[in-house]
Formats: sequence, C-alpha cells, structure tokens
Amino acid sequence: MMITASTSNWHKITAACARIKFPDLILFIVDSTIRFIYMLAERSGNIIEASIKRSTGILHKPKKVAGDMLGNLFITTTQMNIELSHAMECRCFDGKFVHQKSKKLMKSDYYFLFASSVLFTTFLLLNK
Amino acid sequence: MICAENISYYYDMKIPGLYNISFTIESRESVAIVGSNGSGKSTLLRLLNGLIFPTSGIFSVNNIRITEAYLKDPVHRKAFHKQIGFVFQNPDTQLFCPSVYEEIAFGPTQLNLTDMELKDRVGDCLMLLGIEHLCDRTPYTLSRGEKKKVAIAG
Repeated sequence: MMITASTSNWHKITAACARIKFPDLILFIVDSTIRFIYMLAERSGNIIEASIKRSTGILHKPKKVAGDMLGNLFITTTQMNIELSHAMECRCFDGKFVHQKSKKLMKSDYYFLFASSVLFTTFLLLNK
Repeated sequence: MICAENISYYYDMKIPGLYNISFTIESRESVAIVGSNGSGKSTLLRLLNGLIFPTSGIFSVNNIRITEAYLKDPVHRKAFHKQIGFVFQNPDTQLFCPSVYEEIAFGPTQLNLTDMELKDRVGDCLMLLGIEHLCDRTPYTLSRGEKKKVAIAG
C-alpha cells in the first residue's frame, strides 16, 4: 500500500480501478471527494491567512472565526456541487457514464504484474 | 437564433434577478452583455443555457420554446446542449476529470464519438489553446489561467 501510495497519484489508481470495471459512480464520488478535500483545504487556508492578516496578527474570537469559516465552507461546497452538476449537464452528461474504450494490456504491463507478484510473495515470505 | 420575449426571473420567487428582458440574437452574430455587478448578467447566461428557466416570458432557440418540460426529455436536452456551450466563472467547479485530456474529452465522449474522432477533437482543442504540454496534468494542480484555458477547451 505504501509503495502504491508513494509511486502513483490517486487519479491513476482510480483510472486503474475503472479499467477493471469498478462501478463508475463510486469512482466518481471518490474522485470528487478527494478533489473537494484538496480545494476546501486550500480555501480554508486562504480564509485563515486572510483573517490573520486582517486582524494585524492577533486573531480575536478565534472560535467565532472557526465557526464562520466552517459555515462558509459548507455553503461553498453546496454551491460547488450545484455548479458541478450544471457543468456536467452543459456538456451533455445525462447520468450515464460513457467511457473511452479501455486500452489493452501491453507487454510491459505483464512484466510489471509479474514483478509485483514476485515482490509481494517475497514480502509475505520474509514476514513469516 | 436565440430569442427572449419579456423574460423575468425571480430567485426563490421573491428576489428579482431579471425583469422584462427582450432581445434577439441572430445566427453568426456576436453579442457582449455588459452591466454593473449584480445586474443579472450571469443569471441571463444561465437562463440562455437552460440551467434555470424564466419565471415569466418566452425563451426560444431556433424557434423552439425552451422550457423545463422540454428539456426533461433526454433527447431534447442533449440536442440543446450540443448547440450551446458555457464556460463557468470559476473554472474549479467545471473541471472534475482526473486529467486535462479526459476533461476536454468529457463532452465529446458523451456524444458517443469514435476513438479516432475523439482523439482528433481533443488534439485540435489542445493545439488551438496552446496547452498540449498540460495534456496529462491533473486540472486542479494547474494555475488559474491554465484552468481557464482548459475550461474553454472543454
């Protein structure tokens, strides 16, 4: 898991899952969640930075600021979801995921599969 | 031809977004909509794109009246959205695919084009906007300007 996490980005993992016929809707939800977490984290960072700068370094009533920020993030997420569905609708999406035809496995893929299984077996044997 | 006759739109049936707007946009005509903040430009564009519907008045495209009931039919909806594109103000909400290539290919993929046609279309868009080098990048890691270009290409 650690090797996969450090060598592949999340989207490549979900793309691989899509190739082995993982349900599209689940993959889309997982993908969107990761993206939203990234965007909302960035947004909260910006809000905190702006609050500190506007308060000239000393943040008064931090609990209120945190509450306001959470409220803002919640509303933003809702609006982003609506816009996302609008964007998909505008691009002719009608609820059914249409795929680009999946590519066939290449020779190098078989080598990697073989190498991965050897590594995995070695890992299991050494851990006994 | 896009035609609006006395269209009004109220948010939550109370707050006016547009009031009694009429205009006609002929084929091949370029139109810029200019106005102060909160004057309803974005609302009008959403309305023209069938994302919201007028509270009163008539909105038609090529002499076909566009209503919520009309666009409920998937065939009509697809035909309508094939004709009218929309670039959102905030590109972050428009870009949702794992890579720039897939982002641009999303619309054409919905039209069930062949792989070759799809590749050609995406290639053309990438070249037209000079973003070939971004092809395999993840959209949300791009700069705002690059995101805007990808949104236009998509």
